[in-house]
Amino acid sequence: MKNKMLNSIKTTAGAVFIVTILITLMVQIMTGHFYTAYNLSTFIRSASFTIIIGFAQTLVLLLGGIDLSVASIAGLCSMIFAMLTTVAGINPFLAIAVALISGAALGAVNGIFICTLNLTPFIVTLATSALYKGIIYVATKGIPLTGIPASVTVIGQGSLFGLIPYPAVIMLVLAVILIYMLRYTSFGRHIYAVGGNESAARIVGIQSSKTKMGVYSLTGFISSLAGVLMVLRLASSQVNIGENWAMPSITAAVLGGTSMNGGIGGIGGTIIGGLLMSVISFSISLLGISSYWDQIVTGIVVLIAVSIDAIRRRNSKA
Amino acid sequence: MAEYLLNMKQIVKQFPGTLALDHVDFNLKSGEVMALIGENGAGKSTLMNVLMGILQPDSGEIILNGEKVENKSPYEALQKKIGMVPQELNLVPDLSIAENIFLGLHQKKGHRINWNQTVEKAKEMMEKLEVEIDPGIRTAEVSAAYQQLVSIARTLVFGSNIIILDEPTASLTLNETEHLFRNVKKLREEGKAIIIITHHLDEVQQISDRVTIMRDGKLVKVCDTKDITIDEMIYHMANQKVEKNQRVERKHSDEIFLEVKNFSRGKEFKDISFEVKKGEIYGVAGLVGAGRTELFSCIYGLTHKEAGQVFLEGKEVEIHSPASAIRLGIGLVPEERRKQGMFPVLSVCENIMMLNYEKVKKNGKINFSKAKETADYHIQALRIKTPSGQTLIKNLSGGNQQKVILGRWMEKNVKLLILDEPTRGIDVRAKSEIYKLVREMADIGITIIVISSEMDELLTIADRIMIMNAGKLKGIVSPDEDMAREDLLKVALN
Repeated sequence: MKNKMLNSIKTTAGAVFIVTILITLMVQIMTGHFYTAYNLSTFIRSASFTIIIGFAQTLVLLLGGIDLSVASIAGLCSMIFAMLTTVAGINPFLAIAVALISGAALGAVNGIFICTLNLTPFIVTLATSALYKGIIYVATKGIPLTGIPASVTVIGQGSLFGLIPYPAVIMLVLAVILIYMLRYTSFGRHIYAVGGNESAARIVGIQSSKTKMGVYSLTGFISSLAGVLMVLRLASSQVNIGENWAMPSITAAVLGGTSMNGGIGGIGGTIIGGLLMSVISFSISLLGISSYWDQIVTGIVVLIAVSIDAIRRRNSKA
Repeated sequence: MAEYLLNMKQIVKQFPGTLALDHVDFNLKSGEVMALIGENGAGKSTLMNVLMGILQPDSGEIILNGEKVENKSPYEALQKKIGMVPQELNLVPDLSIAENIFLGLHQKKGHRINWNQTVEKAKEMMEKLEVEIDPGIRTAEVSAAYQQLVSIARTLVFGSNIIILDEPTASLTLNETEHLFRNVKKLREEGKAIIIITHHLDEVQQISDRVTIMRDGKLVKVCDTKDITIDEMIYHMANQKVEKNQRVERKHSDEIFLEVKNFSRGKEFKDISFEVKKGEIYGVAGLVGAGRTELFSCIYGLTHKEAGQVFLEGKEVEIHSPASAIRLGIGLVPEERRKQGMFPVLSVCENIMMLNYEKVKKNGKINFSKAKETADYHIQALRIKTPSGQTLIKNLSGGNQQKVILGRWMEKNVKLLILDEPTRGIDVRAKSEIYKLVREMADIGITIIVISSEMDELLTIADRIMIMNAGKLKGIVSPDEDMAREDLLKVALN
C-alpha cells in the first residue's frame, strides 16, 4: 500500500497533484482565503468546465489524434440549446438532449473526414473549428440569447446538498463512467491499442475506423455537455462560450500525463491537470495580481511541469 | 603510428540494475573488417553507442589515432571520422538521395547551397558504390538495400575512417548482400576500418578478418576469424553448447486445411495455387520482393485480392479484413515486429490479451485478475523472460517480444498461423526456442505457414517449402537432411 502511494507520486499526475496542493497551501497562508467554503465551491464549479472539456480531449489524445474543435462544438451546441429553448420554446430538457446529440454528430463529422479520407486530425479539426464557430456568429449575429428557464439553470448554478456544485457532480459522474469505459470495456482498450500502434491494432482485427468514429463522436458529445452546462451556469448563451477552451483542454490532459503520441494516459490525470490550471487562475485573483498574468504563469507552469517530467523519464530510462 | 586505429580501454557503463559494459576492451586496425557478435543484451550496441557518443561511459578511455578522445554526441564522433549505419536507417524518406547523402554537410557556394554540385557529387559517390541510380529521386522510392548504401555514402562524405554497420544484411536479399560485401571489401582496401554487428555467423566467416565476441556486458574473445569455427563462436556467445538446430522429420495429418486457388493481385503476385495440410509447417521461400508477404497479407485480408479463391477445410471462404480472418481462426505474426506486431507502450499482459478480452469478460466488464491469470499462463508456457506481466513489452528482448505475440494467437486458439520472418533480429538461442515452440504448436494441430528469407531456417523447420520469385510460384519441395540453400535458390531462379 505504501509502495503504491510512492509509485503514484512518481507519475506525472502525482507530481502535478503535489504541486497543486502546495500552491493552494501557499495561497491559503498568504491570503487565508483559499480554503473557505465559498471559494472552494466557486473554484470547483469553474474547474469542472476545464476538466470536462479536458476529458473530451484526453480521449482523442489517447487515440493518437487531436481535436481542436472541442471549443467550437461546445459553443455551437450551447447556441443550439439556447435557441431551441428561448426562440423555439421547446421543453428545455428536450433541448438539452438535442444539443448533446448534435455534439456527437458534429464530432462524427470530424471522424468521417479523418477515417474515410485518412486526413490529419489536426487539419480536419482546425477546419471544422472555424466552420462551427462561423455558424455561431452567422446564426446569432453576435447577440446573446437570454431567458433560459430557471428549471434548468439550477443544474449550472445550484449545488448538491447546497455543498457540491452540480457541474462538479456531473464531472465526477462522467469521470467514473469514462474511467470504467477505458479500463473495463473492449472499446476502451481498443482506444489504447489504436493509439499505441495502429497497424498492429489492424492485424489483431481491431477496426480502427470504428474506434476512431466512436471516440470523435464521444468527444463531440462531451464537448457539447460542457457548452450546455456553461449556458446553464450563465443563464444565457453568448457567442464566446468556450472560445478559449481548445488549448486548456490539451494542457489539462498533458499535465495529467497523457501522451500526445497516443496510447499513454487516462482520465484521472486530466482531473489533476485541470485542477492545477484552475488553481493558478484562482490564486492569481486571490493574490490580487492582475489577471493578465494568468496566461504567463500558466505557460511557465506547463513548461516546468513537462520539463520535469521529461527529465524524470530520461533518468528512469537510462 | 600507433598499431591500432582505435583502442577502447576498460569501458564501463552502468545502467540501473545492470552492468551493461564491464571493463570492455575493443580495438580496431586500419584496413580490417571486425565482426562484433554476441546474443541480444550482450552489450554490442551499448559499446557502439559509447563509441558514437550516444552514451557516455562511466569509466574507461577511447584512444583514436593514439590520442585520447571523448565523444559527447554522434556529431562529434562523425567529425572524428567515425560513422555509423544503424539498423533502422536514419534517412529522411521524403528528401532526395543526394540531399540525404549531404545532409549536415551541404555543398555551398557562398551562403547558397549548390544543388548542381550536390547532385554531381552524390552521383559520383553512388557510382563508386556500384549503384546506378538518379540521386535526384526521393529516397523512399528506392529499395532498402539502396537506402543502406545511401547511408554508407553519407558516412563516406564525412570522410569516415571507421564505419559501423549494425545488422546490415537483415533486410537484404542474397544478391544485395553480396553487393554490400563487395563494397565493404573495397572500403577495406582503401584502408577504412569496418565494424559489422551481426547475428549471421556465416557472414562473419565470409567477410570479417577478426571477431570480437561479447557476453553479458563482458568481452569474452577476440581472435582472427580464420582461427575460429561457427560452433566455437556460438559456444562463446552462449557460454554453453547450443545444439545446432536440427531438422526434425514430423508427421502430420493428410487432411487439407488451407487451399488457395489462382490467387492474383496486380503486380504483387500472379496465379498462385497451393494447399497446406492440417498441422503442417509450410515454408515459403523467396528473395525479398518475391511477393510472399504481399500474398499472405492478401490472404489475411489486409489487402484485397483481384482474383482467386480460398478454401478452409474444403469450404470456400471470403476474407475481407483481418477481423474476418481472425473469425475464421487465422492469425498473422507480421514481419516488422515493432511497427506492426506489438503495442510497444502497453504491457506484456495487454499485448497478449488485446484480442482476447471477450474471453475474460463478466457481464460485459473485463475481469483483469482473470486476464492476468491467462497472460501468466502463457508467460510460463512459452518461457517468456519478463519481470512480470505488467512490464511494458518494449523493454523485452526481441525473442521474448516475439513469444508474447505467439502467446496472443495461442490464446485466440487459431487454427492457422502465418509467421512472417519469425526470427528476424533474434539471437541464436532464442531462435531455437522459437523453432521449438512452432513445432509444439504444429504438433497440437495448428497449421503453420512460415515465410522466411533465411533458407536455412526453412530447411530446419518446414515440412514442405514453397518457393516464389517475382510474384510467381516457382515450385514446392519437400526438404531433407541433404538439401542445401543452393537447391532452393536454383528452384527460385529457374
